[in-house]
Amino acid sequence: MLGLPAGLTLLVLLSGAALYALVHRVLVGQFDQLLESRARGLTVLVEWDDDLVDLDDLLALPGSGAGHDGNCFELRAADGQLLLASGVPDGQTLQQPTQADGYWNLTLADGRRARALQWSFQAREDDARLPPAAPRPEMALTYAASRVELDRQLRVLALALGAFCLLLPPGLTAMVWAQARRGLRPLDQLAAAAAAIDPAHLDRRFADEGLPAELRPIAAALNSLLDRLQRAFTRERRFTADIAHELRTPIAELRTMTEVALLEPAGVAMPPPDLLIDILELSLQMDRLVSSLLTLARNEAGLEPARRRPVDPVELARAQWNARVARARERSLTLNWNIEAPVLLHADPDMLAMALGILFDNAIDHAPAGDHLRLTLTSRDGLTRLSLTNTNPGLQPEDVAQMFEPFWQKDPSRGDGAHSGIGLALLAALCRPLALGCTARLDADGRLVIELCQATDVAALVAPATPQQISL
Amino acid sequence: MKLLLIEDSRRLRQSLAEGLRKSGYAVDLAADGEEGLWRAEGGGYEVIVLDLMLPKLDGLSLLRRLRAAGDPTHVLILTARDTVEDRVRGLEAGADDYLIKPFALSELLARIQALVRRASGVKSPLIQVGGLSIDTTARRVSREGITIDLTAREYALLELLVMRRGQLVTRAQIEHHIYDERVEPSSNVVEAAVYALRRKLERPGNLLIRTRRGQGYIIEEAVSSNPSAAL
Repeated sequence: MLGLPAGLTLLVLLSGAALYALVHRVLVGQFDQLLESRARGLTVLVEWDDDLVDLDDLLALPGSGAGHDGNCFELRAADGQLLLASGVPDGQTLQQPTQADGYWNLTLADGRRARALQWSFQAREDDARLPPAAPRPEMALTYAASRVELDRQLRVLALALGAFCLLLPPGLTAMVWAQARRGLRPLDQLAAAAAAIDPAHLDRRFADEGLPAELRPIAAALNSLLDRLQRAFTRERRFTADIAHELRTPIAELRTMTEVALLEPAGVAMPPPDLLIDILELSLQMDRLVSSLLTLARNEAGLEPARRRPVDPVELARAQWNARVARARERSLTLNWNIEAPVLLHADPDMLAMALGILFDNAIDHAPAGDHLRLTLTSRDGLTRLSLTNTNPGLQPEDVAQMFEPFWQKDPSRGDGAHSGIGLALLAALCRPLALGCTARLDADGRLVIELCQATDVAALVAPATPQQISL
Repeated sequence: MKLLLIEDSRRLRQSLAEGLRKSGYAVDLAADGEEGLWRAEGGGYEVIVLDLMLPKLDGLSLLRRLRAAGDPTHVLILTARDTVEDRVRGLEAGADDYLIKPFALSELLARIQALVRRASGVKSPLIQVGGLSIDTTARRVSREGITIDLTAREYALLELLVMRRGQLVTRAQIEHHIYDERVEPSSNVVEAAVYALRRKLERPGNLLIRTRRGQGYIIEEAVSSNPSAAL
């Protein structure tokens, strides 16, 4: 904050000093020109007449001997002999200490500051008939003039510049600050409006009316960010509500079964085995749900690091299918293996096994009895694709778009308690750290195809695990 | 008193039905919305306990259809959907009460009892009749401070007659309200139940339940409620 005034002050001071030096030089130069012109005027009056210096014209000048216009001069011969002095205070000499021509400053005996010029010349030949080259004596004129007025002007200049230089920086800083504040006011209002938006008011948007044109793109970008944030919050709230709902139902069942059992007088009989089996099943159901939710949450939070390495998906798929083949047989389901070429996926084997297990569970649970499932593995155009196809009666294209939403079920009643609708959401969450694309579609026969795909150059697709800081 | 429980969760449906029956209610069951609507349209239920997320026909649609048909049966929604919007939607669709899962069985019973009283125009849970004191909340009958031990079905029969005091209650109505779909009433089951009730409640010269031959039964004495014991 202090940088701007300090820099401005330094700049103005340097500029003021430079300006003073320039004006000083000009004024002193003009003063010197005046001295020179007056000295020349006097030298013209010195004549050489018949081997004698004729000072009659010089002496005839008004004020000669008492100084001219308060100024003074000395005329000396080449050997330094004083020929004439005019206006020089008593006891003072105007002779230049270095004996050389030029200007210098001096203080007169009466205390006045003066500036002097020593000028060497030859006296003018009085006889115009003689050639100009005829020998004439060398003389030196020293002319001094008071520089009181010059010094006064320079002092006024110094004072004016000093005052200007001292007052300009704070004044300019204040003006810049005021202008900046005025210019930044819409930004402050935008910031205040942004600060007022909390999770309970994510429906608010920034109006671009009244905003400067420069800020409108920012408001539009913030509105877009709020749209995404609101969608994410809505999804999160629905997810939380769904979790609560999924847990409430089995808890209600457990509580009611227990309370009804307790209606029997104590010690009359052991709880019936059916009741105990139901309670055990409910416990397992809640355990599965909580485990799935924990895995989902950990994956979405990036807390489950994927230890990826080349793995054979067919080997993993066979192991997962074998673990479920008895359940598939109960429903007369068969699996057709359509492996075009042996190919490896770059994945964490445990996570990929879990993903394949979810794929098979989904097909076994929802395919009609007697259905023929098909597992396909291909590698073309730089993509490895693994898909599972099964019949899923009643599934519509609009259903497919929602299948990976947590707790989505075609039938929302969830009466059987066996399905929570978390499986495909978990599958999608497992695929993300494995750089696996996960999509669902209905094929030409209306059968459901869930496909996992991975680029051959998978390294390029791996998302960074740590948050990225945005450089502004 | 006969209830209809429409709930798709098998475990909850069965255990809740058992709890309600142990508390003296006759309970018919439905596992999905369509069956529930069909049973409800058959009528004769004091209260319908209705889940919202049902297969085939969801609970709110069922309720709206029922109300659109002019069915006045009291409906208690029993659901895991707990937001204010859900509750408002349920009550606006015509529900009389709303209870969120998981719930205490005692609270569900108290709410059902309150709806039964509302259906009968009786506000107090304590009813005095023929020297008897009937606590409809505790489902207990006493005379001069001494509790009379009744079976759940005997209590249900007494409560039905008391709630409709001054009105003739036919044998068919008793069968319908006291026995649910699990029981096939025999030809004299109502007479036997009334006989058993009379033995426990009536004293010589103090006839509480009168028989109208070929028509049914009636409690004619004016019923008095005890306002100070209101819930």
